[in-house]
Amino acid sequence: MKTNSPFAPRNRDLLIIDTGPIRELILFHAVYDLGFQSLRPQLRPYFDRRAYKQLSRFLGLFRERTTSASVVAELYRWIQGLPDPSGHQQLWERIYQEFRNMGLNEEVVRLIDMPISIVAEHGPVDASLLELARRHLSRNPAILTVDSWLARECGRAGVASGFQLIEVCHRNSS
Amino acid sequence: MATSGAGKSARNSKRVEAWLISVINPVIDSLRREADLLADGNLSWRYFSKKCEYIRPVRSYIEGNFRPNFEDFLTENPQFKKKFEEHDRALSKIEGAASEFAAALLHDPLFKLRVEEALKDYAVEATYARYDSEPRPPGLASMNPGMPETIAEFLINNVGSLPSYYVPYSFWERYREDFVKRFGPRENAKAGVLPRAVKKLQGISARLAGDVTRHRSNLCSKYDMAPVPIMPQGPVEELITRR
Repeated sequence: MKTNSPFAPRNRDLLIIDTGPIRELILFHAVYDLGFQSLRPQLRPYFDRRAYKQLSRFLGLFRERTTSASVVAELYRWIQGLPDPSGHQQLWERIYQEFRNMGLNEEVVRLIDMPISIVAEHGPVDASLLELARRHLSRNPAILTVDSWLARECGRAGVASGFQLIEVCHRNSS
Repeated sequence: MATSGAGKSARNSKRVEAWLISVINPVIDSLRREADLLADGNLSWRYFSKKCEYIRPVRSYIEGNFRPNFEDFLTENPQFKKKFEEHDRALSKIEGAASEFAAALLHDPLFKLRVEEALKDYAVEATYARYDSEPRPPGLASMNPGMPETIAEFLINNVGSLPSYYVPYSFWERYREDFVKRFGPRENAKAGVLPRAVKKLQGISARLAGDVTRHRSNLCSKYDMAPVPIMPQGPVEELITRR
C-alpha cells in the first residue's frame, strides 16, 4: 500500500459536523492567527496546536464533509453574542474560508421531518444532524460533535458513528 | 519633542498600564506573527477579499473595545502615527501587487492551459481510484472561487503542503511543484513587484517592532511597570478576560 501517495486511502465517505468543532476551529485561528486574545477563554483548554493537527488529520480521513443549515444559524448566534462587533467580519471571513477549504456542504432538514421529542429536548440542530445521518445511512456516516449526548445517540439510533471532539484530539495523538 | 508620558504621575500610571495591555503588547505580538508569516512568504492573501487575512493595518490589531486606548496612545505618542501609516501603506501595496499578480496569471494563456491540463488529469484520478481499496480523491467542481483562482492564491501565499482535509489537498500535492516552478511569483521575473513589496513590508515591520518594543521598555522604566502588568482583578483585566 502506498502510504505516501497524495491519493492515499480516505477511510470513510462522509462526516457530518456539529457546531462545536467548527466553532473550535474558528476560535483556534482567531486566537493564534488573528490575535483575538479576548476569545482565548472560549477556546476549550485541550484545543491547542497539537489538538488542531489531530483534528485536521481526522477530518482528512473523510472524502466529504457536510453539516446542517441550522449549524450556520448557530454560528451566527455565537458571533452575534460576542461583545466586540469590530471583529465579527473577520470571524465570518474565517468561517467562509474554513467552509471553502473543507468543501463543507450544507443541507436543509425540515422541522417537520425531525422527531418532535428530540427537537423538544435537545434542539433542532442535534435533531437535524441525526436526520442527516439517516439520509446518508448508505454512506456509513460519522458525526463529529462536542456534545456527549449526540455522540452516544448516533450509536444508539444506529445511524452513524459518533465522535466527540476531545476523543478525536486524544485518540489520534497516541 | 514627542512625548511618551501619560500625565503627571511617573509611577504606576493606570493610563500607561492600559496602553501596555490593550495597545502596545497586542501590536508587538501581531508584528511578531507578521514577521513569521512574511519570512515563510505566507501573505495570507485571499482571492475573494483581495486582502491579507492575517496581516492587517496596525489599528486592526487592536480589539474594538480598546480602540479609544489606541487613539489615546497615538495622541500622546504621535511619533507612531507616521510609523503605523508607513506600515499600512506597505501592506496596501502588497495587497495591490498580489491582486495584480493574480489578475495577470488568470489572463496568462499558458497558465490557463496548464490548469486545464492538470484538472483533466486530476479528474481521471478522481473518477477512477487506482486501487479498489483506495477511495477516490474529492472532486474540485464545487470549489468557490474556482481552481485557477485558488491556485493563484496558493502561489501568492507560497503554500506548501495543505492540511489533508482541504478539498484541493491531493491536487496540490500532485501539481504544486510544477505550478510553483512555472508560475510562482518568486520564480517569475515579471512578478518582481510583489516580492519587492513583501521585502519592503518585512523591513518596515521589523523596524516598527523594534521601535514599539523599545518604547515599551522606556515606558516600563519611566513608570516602574512590568511589560505585562500583573494586576489584582481590576477593571482592565476583567475586560480582557470577560470579553
